[in-house]
Amino acid sequence: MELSSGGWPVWSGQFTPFGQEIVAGQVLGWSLGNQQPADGTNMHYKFTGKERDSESGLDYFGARYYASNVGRWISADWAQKPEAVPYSKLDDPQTLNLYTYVSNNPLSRVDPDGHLEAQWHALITYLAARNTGHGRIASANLAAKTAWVDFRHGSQHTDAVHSNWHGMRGVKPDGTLQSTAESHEGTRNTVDNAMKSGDTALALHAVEDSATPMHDGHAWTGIFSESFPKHFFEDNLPTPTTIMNSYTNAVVVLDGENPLRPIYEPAPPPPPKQQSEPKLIPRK
Amino acid sequence: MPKARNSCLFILFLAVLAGCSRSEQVNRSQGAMPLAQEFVFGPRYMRLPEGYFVLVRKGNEVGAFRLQHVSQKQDGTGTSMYESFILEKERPRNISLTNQKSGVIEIKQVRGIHPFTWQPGNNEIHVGAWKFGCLTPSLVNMSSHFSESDDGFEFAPTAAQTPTDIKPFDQNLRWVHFDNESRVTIPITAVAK
Repeated sequence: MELSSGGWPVWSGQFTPFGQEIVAGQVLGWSLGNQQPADGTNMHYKFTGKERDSESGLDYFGARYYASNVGRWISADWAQKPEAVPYSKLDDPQTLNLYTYVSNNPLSRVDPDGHLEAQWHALITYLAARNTGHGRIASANLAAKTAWVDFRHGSQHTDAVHSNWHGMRGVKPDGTLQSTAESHEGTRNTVDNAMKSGDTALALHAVEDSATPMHDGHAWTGIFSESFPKHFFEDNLPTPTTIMNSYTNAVVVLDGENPLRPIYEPAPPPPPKQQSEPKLIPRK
Repeated sequence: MPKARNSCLFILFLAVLAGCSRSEQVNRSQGAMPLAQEFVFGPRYMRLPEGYFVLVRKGNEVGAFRLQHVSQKQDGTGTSMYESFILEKERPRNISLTNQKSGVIEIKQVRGIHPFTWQPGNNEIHVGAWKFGCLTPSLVNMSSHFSESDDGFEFAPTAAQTPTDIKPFDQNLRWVHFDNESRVTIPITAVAK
């Protein structure tokens, strides 16, 4: 969405999960050499706020170009350390394809690896807020508050309530550890409650951390645990995909939705319509 | 001048660290958590009732340990004591208890500042050469230390309350292995000595 200087919306776009633009209910096609954006406007910032090249129709994500018409990157994924198939998992064949976008699962937005440290929370929140129409000061304020969730009182405790702030597993009131499904439910409820109570920073923090599988399914055991070095370094060096997934989750929250609902549990079906009770015919 | 500025920044950082550390120490909830009346195995950790031995085996080695004097608050802090043995076969039906260990489990409020937080106090149970981490005074990892993956340990709850009551080769023992997601609850009345 683009806003005027007065804060009024002047352009908004709809996209398929893989980024093809939808105008008047129709998915737009792209062809090379098409000089004019197909929706007839001069808005070049399209899917997830990335700039779309008017000649090729490709989206620029910083590290690579993305072709939304085929749902693929146009170059292979890369890593700083030389690796044959970066970020791959042998038990997930989708990760072996270096050209797929979020493992062909654009609604789940879960990155194969990575974490977020406070500075990343701040940066992602700031960009998401700016790209959803917030002013600079409001965005910076929200970014600082989202990063500060890591430093709130009790934030690093191992109980379920505080662990779910970070999309992690914690100790339940009955004294046992949450299962992954229980932590998903707890995190989803945390986001719902935070959004209802106006604590947008907490909701943003939880959904941004939830996009990082080193939080998802893990329990926090402190600095002296074996997993701490991996946790710490990946918090500070998240992969581009982690950043993009967290950013997308943040945009969804700022649009007023809970992005964890479609990941963790499909929305409950609407309640069945109650059959109307037979009307009593007044006796004449 | 830059040195003085760096010193000031360092002192400021320490002050923030100390302040946050102190704020983490504030007790949140003072309510006591009721003691477990059953064995709960999984996910990943096991919650143990007070006074009853649990057998642990890996490969050819078998050990046993139990928790005593469990005192736990709702926030998971508190203390307990443990004693443990390694069981060695002398003859087919008899065992001897060796390598006895005991200690205090002390779970205090988390200290430090994100991400440099730690749990002060002793949060490990030693059974022979094995170590198992505790998240609360009665919640023990089913893998070594605080590992999140299966290290091959198996556990069997017993109704034994003294070392001489332990029968590690009882056919009625129910052995439970590490599971990351599922939860198995076994009442004390349903387990063999």
